[in-house]
Amino acid sequence: MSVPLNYALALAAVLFVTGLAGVILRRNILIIFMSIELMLNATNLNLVAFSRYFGNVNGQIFVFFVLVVAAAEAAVGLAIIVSLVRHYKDSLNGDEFNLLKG
Amino acid sequence: MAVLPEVVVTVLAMLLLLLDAVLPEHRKSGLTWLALLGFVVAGAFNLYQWGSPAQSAYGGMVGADNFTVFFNTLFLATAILVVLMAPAYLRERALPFGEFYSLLSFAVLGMMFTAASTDLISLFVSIELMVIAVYILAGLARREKRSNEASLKYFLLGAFASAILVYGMSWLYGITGQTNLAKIAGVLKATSLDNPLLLMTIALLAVGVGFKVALVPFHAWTPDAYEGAPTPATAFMSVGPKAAAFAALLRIFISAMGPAQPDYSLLFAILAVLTMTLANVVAIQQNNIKRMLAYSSIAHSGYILVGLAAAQPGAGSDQVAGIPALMFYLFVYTFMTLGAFAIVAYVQAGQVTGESFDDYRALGRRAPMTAIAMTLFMLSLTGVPPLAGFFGKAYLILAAVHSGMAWLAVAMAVNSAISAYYYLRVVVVMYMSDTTERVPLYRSPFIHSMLAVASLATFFVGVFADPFLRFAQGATLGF
Repeated sequence: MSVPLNYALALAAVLFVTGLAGVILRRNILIIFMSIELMLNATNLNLVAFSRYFGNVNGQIFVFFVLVVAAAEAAVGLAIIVSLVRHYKDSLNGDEFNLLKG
Repeated sequence: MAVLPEVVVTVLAMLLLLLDAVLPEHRKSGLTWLALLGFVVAGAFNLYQWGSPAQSAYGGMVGADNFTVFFNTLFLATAILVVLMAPAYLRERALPFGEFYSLLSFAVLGMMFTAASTDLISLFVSIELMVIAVYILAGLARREKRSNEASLKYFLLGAFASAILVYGMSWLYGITGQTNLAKIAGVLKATSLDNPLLLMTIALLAVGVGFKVALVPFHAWTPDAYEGAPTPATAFMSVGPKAAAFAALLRIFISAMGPAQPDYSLLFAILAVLTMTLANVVAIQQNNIKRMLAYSSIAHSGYILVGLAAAQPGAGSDQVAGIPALMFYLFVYTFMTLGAFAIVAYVQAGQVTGESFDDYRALGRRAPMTAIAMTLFMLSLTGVPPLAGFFGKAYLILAAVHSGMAWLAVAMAVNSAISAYYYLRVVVVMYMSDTTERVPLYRSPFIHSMLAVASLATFFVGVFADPFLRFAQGATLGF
């Protein structure tokens, strides 16, 4: 017995909206970043589900690239956050980084 | 070989990274010459491909045709001008040469592959290659708080936008079962477009790319990132990744979703009006020149988007079609915006931040040639004939009228008038106010030659617009 396509898509949509809400509502930089990762994983689930449904492999190849990009993004993003904490302010609250405005 | 320019830039990026690690500190300024040489060689290989039949590489992942030659020319010209602008600024702030040039090359590589992508997968990876390199460029001055903050904001919103974009791509794949752009277009042509999921996909993709090209209401990161980043990086960000994002927009919405054009044309027209109006009104209130130029660049995204709203897929190289007008405007925009930011970098010497309007007092007397160049860029950004900016806007307005959206043309003309207020403010400060301070200015042959190239291009692309317009038209034959 296999899981119907709709179930996977619904789960992916829930994950995506959770991530979206996290980015908009949370103030902690690391949690915002984790929420973005959640959105990327919703995409991966979507792609795998569609790939299985269509019986072609493109979606699964896409998933590999999304994973790689997410890893690269994490490396750079965490480096930026480390630099920020070291040179700017020892805090992870996004609202406290407010030199640039106008 | 279809991807030779891209190969040259890849080798260049790696070579720069390697040499930066092994060269002694006092030899590193030689990297500037290496970067220039690499981009010029890539540019020569690129122009050589003009007019040759379309090819594809890597199993249909990327293509090479006139469209890519056009955009590669744009990207490599941007890279060369940024490399010319950077050394004086980097030396003054003790920022690393090798890292700057190498990241710049990787970003340019991502941009070139973005324009060349013919598949959703390669398109996504290329866009990410570009933006990840630019996140680091924005934060290159890592001991400066503002640079750190710029990098953080750009990163968080950029990654957020990428996640939305790729979710939209997954739905596009779900609707059509294909990742190849041409095959997606084939499927969309054969199916009913009256599909709520398709509308949702259009919305997701538009939001994702809208962040990258800084459309209102997805522009919040732009002024902060532009203000905080080192000025040469700002100049690059305002031109290169924006042009590449427009190339991606064309690839997604014309190559792949061309058949759905009636569904999104109005959406982009509304976004265009919103973007240019809000950005121009806010730009008037700015007292920081980098922020003002950031809002100006948002406003120009709005103008450029008019070309997409007025696009008629299949019209190809029609004289008044939207896509050639869009691409011509990108070409024009590159030189005038890079020029304006180069002047900001030029004025930012010593203790002068170069960001307040006061730093430009009496520039007409202190540095006459520079002031003339700045006047030229400001007038061209406003859209004064016979400069390049005027013809760029004129073609876009013609395209809008031609596609039956006269209101869009009116909105654009009104906005140009509003923008004159803040562009001319710079000119007024340079010529009609005095200063007693003895403010130092950079004396670097690199930045002087860069300003000469940018101002000559701004002038001559306007006066002799025809060959450049034909260049843009020839590049859109594929559509």
